[in-house]
Order: sequence, then structure tokens, then C-alpha cells
Amino acid sequence: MTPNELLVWLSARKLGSWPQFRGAVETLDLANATDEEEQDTSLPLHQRVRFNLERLGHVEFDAAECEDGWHVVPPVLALSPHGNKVTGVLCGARTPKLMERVERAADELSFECASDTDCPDIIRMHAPDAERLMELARREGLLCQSDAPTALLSRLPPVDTIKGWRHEPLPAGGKDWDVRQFIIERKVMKWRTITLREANMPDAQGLFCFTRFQMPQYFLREGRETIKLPGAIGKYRILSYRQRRVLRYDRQERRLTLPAILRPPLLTERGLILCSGFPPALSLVHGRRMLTYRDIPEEVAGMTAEVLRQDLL
Amino acid sequence: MKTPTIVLIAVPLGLLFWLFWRRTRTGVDENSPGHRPAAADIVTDEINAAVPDAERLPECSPFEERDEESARDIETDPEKAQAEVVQADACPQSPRAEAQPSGGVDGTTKTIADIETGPSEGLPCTKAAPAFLPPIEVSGEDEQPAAEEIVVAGITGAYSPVAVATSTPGDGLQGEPAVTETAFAEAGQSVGNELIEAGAERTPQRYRPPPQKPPRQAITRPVNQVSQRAAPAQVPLEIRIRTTFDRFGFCAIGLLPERTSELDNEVAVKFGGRPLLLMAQEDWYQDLQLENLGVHLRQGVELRGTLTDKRSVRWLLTGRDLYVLASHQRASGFVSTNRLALGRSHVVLCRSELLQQVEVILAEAGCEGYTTLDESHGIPSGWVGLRGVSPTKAIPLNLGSDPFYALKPAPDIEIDFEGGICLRNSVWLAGYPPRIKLLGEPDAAVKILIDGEEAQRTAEGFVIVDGYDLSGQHSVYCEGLSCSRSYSIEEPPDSWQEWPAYHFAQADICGPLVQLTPEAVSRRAFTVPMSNPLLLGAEPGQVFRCSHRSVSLWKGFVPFDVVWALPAQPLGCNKKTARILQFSEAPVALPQPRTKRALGWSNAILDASRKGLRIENGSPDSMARWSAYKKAARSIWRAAR
Repeated sequence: MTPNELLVWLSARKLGSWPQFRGAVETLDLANATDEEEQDTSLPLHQRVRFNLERLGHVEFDAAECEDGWHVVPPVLALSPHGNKVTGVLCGARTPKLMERVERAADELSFECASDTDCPDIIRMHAPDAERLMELARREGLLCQSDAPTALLSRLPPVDTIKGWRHEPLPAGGKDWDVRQFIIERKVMKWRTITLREANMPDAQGLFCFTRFQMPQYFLREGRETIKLPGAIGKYRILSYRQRRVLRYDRQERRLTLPAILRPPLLTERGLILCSGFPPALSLVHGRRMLTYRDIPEEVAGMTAEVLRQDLL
Repeated sequence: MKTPTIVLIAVPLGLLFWLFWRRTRTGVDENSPGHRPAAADIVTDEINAAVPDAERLPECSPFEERDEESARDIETDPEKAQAEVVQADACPQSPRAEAQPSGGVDGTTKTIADIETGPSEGLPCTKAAPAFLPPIEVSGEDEQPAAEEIVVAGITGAYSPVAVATSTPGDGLQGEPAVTETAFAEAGQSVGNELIEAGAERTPQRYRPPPQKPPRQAITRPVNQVSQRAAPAQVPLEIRIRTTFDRFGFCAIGLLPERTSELDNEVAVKFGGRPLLLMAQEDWYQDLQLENLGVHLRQGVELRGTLTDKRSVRWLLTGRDLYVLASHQRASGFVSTNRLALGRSHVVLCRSELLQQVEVILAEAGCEGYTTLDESHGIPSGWVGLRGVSPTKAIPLNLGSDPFYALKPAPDIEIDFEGGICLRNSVWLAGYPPRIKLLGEPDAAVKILIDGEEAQRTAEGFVIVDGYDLSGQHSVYCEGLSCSRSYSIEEPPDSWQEWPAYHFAQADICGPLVQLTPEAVSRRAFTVPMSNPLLLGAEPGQVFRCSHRSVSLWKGFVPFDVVWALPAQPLGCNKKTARILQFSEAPVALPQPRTKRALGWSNAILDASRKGLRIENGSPDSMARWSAYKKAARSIWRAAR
């Protein structure tokens, strides 16, 4: 089973449990995997595929109504304006018949199908205006989201919004915890291994990652408060307090680059990916792994920076 | 005096001589072949000698399933129940002693359940009492157990569910078992080697190929006998080996613990004193990559854990020197299987010292063109891998336990479904049907029928017939043979529902879809240069200040239709460069409320006016519109004084 077939399988099943997804990924055809250097090899295959499906807006994992499982998003044409043209990215459920219909309908437009690592084919359509793509979506029974990156990013709360995160104490006991603290030293940002006792010291502050059985949990200690939150949000909160800028925007190339260790939170990243339909490219710059998002309009870069409480470099 | 003295000496001497003679006789009797000890004898021997003797145990067959019903039968038989207890108690180190199942090969299954014994129960055990003794099998001409016979397996031997095989016509063997990976351990010969001190970590049993036996008569269960199974206290599962190859041909070997649907998604287990968390997939748990894999492959691996419903669960890989792996419907790469199958490609893993013998058998099975893999390809030290092993000829098995059972393909014909997208069990997705293949040694004259029509063979060796891939139920069978299989093709759905996967203040998000709340639905994305972040609408009070961003354009949703965009601080800006931007021709709205926001709206307009800012590309119409807004702003300001 290839990633394309996996999405077809998920679409046919509509929703399911995490073990079912893991089982389906087990049958992925690994022989077709591209160069490992291009992959985020620190993650196992099932996690790479899962995150890509999630980031590209095909499948939601562990969200509302699919806790501890997955749920396929209905087929959606996500539109993104780029100067004098509009690009539509096909997200969500796919079946062979649906794909045939869409390809046939998009014949008069600029239709593009590209493959990428560990994710289903990226299907894009280009038109001079949004109306034509919206009409196509209507005709073929697809849902349509106009200006999807803006629509998404404009609704996300900034990373320093404390509302919604659960107050929860750090794990204070128990065996087999791998405890790390996110530290920023000059230009270096990294995870440093510490002990459970050190993390629970009264003066310990910052972002902590407690991992047991390969499952990380992130806690942010600010003053006397400890909140449990996604790691990516915790990192950007700390960067915001420290006034460290990590987002580099190239206006000429319309590219947004950031260190791979500081991958944006899920929905923020989805907004960036929907600009082009492609996941970020991984590269090494001065020995550091960097992620580059392509075709990012300046205003979307600005919105991203605002959500992440960053100033663009 | 002399006579009493002689009597006093002679009587004890005679008694001693009689006792000595009697003792000698008893030893002779015990060594006689037909002797079967009573349970009490076994107890005595276990305690005193602490050396197990396989031949003293009741006969049992390894091809039996577990059956709670039989266990109850046994409990009602005091004599046999005693024997079980004796066996169980003989080893308190083991948390449980398990009974080896018994029953007929031909479908009559009579088994006994686990015998739960806690360490506090039963007789004290000597250190050498084997905590890990494998199930002991005694085979003989009369091994077919009677229905009421007790079968007690090794003292702590692994419980091994063994599928009962169907008989294979032509191979002269009845009941060739389809042995699972957790097959029976070697009995007798390895017992001495595997004795370890009490308290030491147990070594799982070694694999023993299923013995081949001559045919025996079937015993049928009475029709009115109803099987009542209770939930087993322990869930026994197997561990398989999985090999995947990367594009350079390097292989990764992992252990794949089996999973059934009723098991937890996560199970904490111990291996070598180290905690591990098994993470569920659908049919397996996440595969385990162990260090010193070569040793584990040879000695076996045992994982134990407890489920949330308090049942204990055990995964077992019986150690062996030879593994056969083949493709699997529910896992990528190659997964360990019982035996080579004709017409299928396999990977064979064997100990280096066995390679020569293995290659001789593979040559006999018609395997050609396979490649040999060593440590440089990721094979564990001391092992050799053979990739691309495709047998073409069946090899009959030796009677008894054939050590190369796994390498000798059976001639059985098997219908195989490959590829496609399998939705569940035997349901495939329309557009992705399975490829149908016949494995084994089919006679050329065998007709394969799909949905009653004779199938055609393709160049790739698959069989097809018109409409085999259409939606609905399909059946495949070989004419004249008891070999059939069915599958169905299902159309995918054509509608999916959106749902609020993430909820934020004014929107629900599902994939790329952003569903706005009714009050926000009328808003549209608005773009403005960052030089003019103060946005005004037609109604007094419609003021919006764009957030600071280090870009030249601001984009976002504004809660009204923007008419004017002013510099952030109209009074403090540079009037030579700063401009008023007009976005709409909308006239100023009435009435003019006296609110704080209306006053802010008014002040922004009046400040821009006092500064003398010009309208960008200002036309006479724009100037007139701006004058009307100024007038409204002034009246609000006056009213507020």
C-alpha cells in the first residue's frame, strides 16, 4: 500500500482507531520511500505519515469526535490567492472515482499532480480567479474554502494565550521518565536532559518534556503555574518571552524558513502548507536543520508571525 | 544363652536381608517399560531427585486445543485432578503451571485449562525443580488419549495454541498440523541444558517441529455435547519475526507481537527486567527492535504483562535455528510463517552452521536464484539470510519430528489473495481488487472457477475472469478439490461529513475548512498596507486597529466594510509621506451614537484632517466623501463636549 492507497483506505473507512491506522501504515510499501536524508528520520514512518496527513488537511487525528483515533476530512478544495492567480489544493477524502472526476473537470484549468515523501500525491489546480475553482468544486461535489491560509491563521489564538490549556503539575515520581528541558543559550536552542528531581525544583522554570514509553508530554512552568500544552506552542511562548526571532522571510522567493526544532504548531503549519500544498522542505544550513515553506505570500507570513508572537527576520 | 544370642543376631540379619531383597525388586519393577507411576510417585521423585523424567508423565499429543470444558471434566475426576495439582505444585517459581491441551487431531478437542497455582500453594519445591521445563510429550503407538484421560504438560511449559490441520491427501500423513509460531518446545533432550537456578530469568522454550504421525481414527464429539468456554485467565499470544528491506537491500529484523481486538491498545510488559510499552496496531503491536537479536532468535523471547481487566497476557517466541518468512496480508515486508509454500517468495533465516544442510533441501525443493545475506546486510551475527527463496517442488516430511519441517513445502493447493486494498477481513475496495493466485502443486487439469466461470491464467500467474473485480460477493474454488475461498468487493462511500474538529472563538476548523459562527460569517479577508493600520467604516464607531506585523501588507478579517485607512497616529505622522487610503464609496451612516467607540472614530478623522493628510489618488468625489465624514465626526465631537 502506498500513501495514496492509504488515503483511499482511510477514506473508505471514514474514521477509526489509532491501532487501525498503525496497522494500515504497516502495509505501506517502504521500497518506494525516497532518500532518507530528505526525511525527518527521527520519527518512525507511521508518525511521519500521520503528521503529513494531518498537516495537509486530509485527516484529523485525536481531535474532537475522534479522540484517540482519526477521522477523514470531506473532500475540500482549499483556495489560496497568489498575485493574479488562485491555486486550489485538493484536501481530504479521495476515491478513484472522485479523482477521475476532478481530473476530468480540471482539464480546462491548469491541473498538477506531484508526489512528495511520505504523503499522498499533492493535487493542485490553478485558475485566473477563485470563481472558476469554486464553480468546479460545486460541480464535482467538493467543499471549497476560499483563501484557506488566511481563513485558518486569522482564527488561531496567539501562542501566549493561556486560555484553554490545562493546569497540571509536573510528574513528580515514577520510573522510566526521560525528562528534558528546552534551553536557549545564545544562538543554541536545544533539549537538555535533566533529572526528575531537577525538573521539580521550586526554582525550575521553562518548558519541560517528560517522555515515557515514547510518548512525550510538555509542561510549561511560569512562576508558580504549570500548564500542560503542545510542545510547539511552549517553545514559541518561551521564544516570545525571550524576544528571540527565528522566522526568516524571503520576500523575493516568498519563502518562510525556520529551524526544524521549532516546527510551528499543527494548525499554524497547516495554514502555511495550504499556500502551496507542499510540506516544508528540510535542509541543512550551517549544520542546522531548517524547514522551508514555499509560496508564502507576505501577508500570510505576517499572520504566522503574529500567531507565533514573532517578528520576521 | 547361646541359642537366644544366635536368634537375636539372626532375626535382625534376616530382616535386613529381606528388606534389601525387597528394595532391589522394587527398583527393577520401576524400571520396567510398562510402569506408570501414581501421582504420589511423581511427587516423591520431583522432590527427592528434582530431575524430571519425561517418560513418567502421562502421554499427551501436542496437537490439541485448549478447552475449558475438558478442564472441568478433569476436576471431577479426583485421581486426575490430583495428578494435575502435583504437577503444578512441583514448581512454585512459576506463577502458573499450564496444562498441555489434549484431544484428537481430527477435530475432537479435549483440553484442560491452565492450572492456577500461586507460590504459596502446594508442596515446597527444591531449587532444581525446573521453573521453565518445556511441555513434555510422550509419543507412542497408543498415544491417542481416551476422552477422559488427563493430559498434563510440562510443569511451566508454554501454552501453545496449535491449529489442527486438515489431512493432506497423498502425503501419507494424517493431521499435518499448521503449527503457530508459539509451537511446542523440545522435550526431554533440552531439559538438562535448560535447568537454571530458581529465581533466575526464564528462557523461553525452543521450537520443536510438529511430529508427523500415521493416520488414526477420528473420534467425534457427541452432538449434544455443548462446549462451554470460560474466559481464560491468561491470554497466550505469539511473537513473529518481521524483516523489511530498504532500497539498498539492507534488512531490518524486528519482533512483531500478535494482537487481537479485545486486547488493550497499550500493554506494559517486562523484557529482561526492562519495561517496554507495546503500542497497538490493528493486528500487531509495534515491532520491537532488540539488541543481541541473534541470541533471542535462537533462545526465544517471552513477554509478560497484565491487561486492564487484570488478565495476564504472555507473548512467546520459541527459539529455533531456522525461520521461514513470507509476505503477509497485514504487514509489510516478510513475516515469519510455518513453512515454505510452493510458488511464493520467502526469506529464510538460519544459523550459519545449518546453511549447507538448508541449501541441500532448498535445491531439492527447486529453489534457485536466491541471494545470501550476511551481517553486512543487517542479518544478526551467527545467522544467514536467504532472500528470494521460491520453492517449486513439494518435499515429503519424515515421520516423527522433522527438523527441517519448515523448509519442506507441502503439495497442498491453496488459493491466495495478494495486493489490492483490503478494507477488512475478506472485503476489498472497488478499484483495488485482490490478485488471485494458486499456490501449491496444482494438476494442470485442475479447473479454477471464479463465480462459477472457468478462470484464465495471466502471464504473471494470476487467475482472472470477467467481472471478478466488480462489487459484490465472489467465490473461487478448484473443481474436484476441497479448496475454495471467497471475497467481496465494496464500493467506497461518496459522502463525508465535516465536523468541528477544533473550535475557536468564532470558528470551527476541520481540515482546511473554517466554519465561521453566524456573527462572523459576513466578514471578508481584508488587505491593507502596514503604513495605514487604522481602519474606519461608514458607521461612527466602526474602528479597527490592525495588529503590528513586520511586513508591508496586513491581511485579516475586519468586522465591517472598510472605507478609510489612516496612519496609526494621524497627528504624529509625516504629512509629506503619509496618506489617507480610501477603500469604499460608502456614505457616512446615520444616526451618530454618542459612544466611546464613536468618539474614537470621530477623533481619528478629525486628527487626520487637522494634520492635513491627503487622500491617496484623491479624486473630487473622494474629497467630497471625506468632507462628509469630517462633518459627521465634528458633530459627534461637539455633542460629546
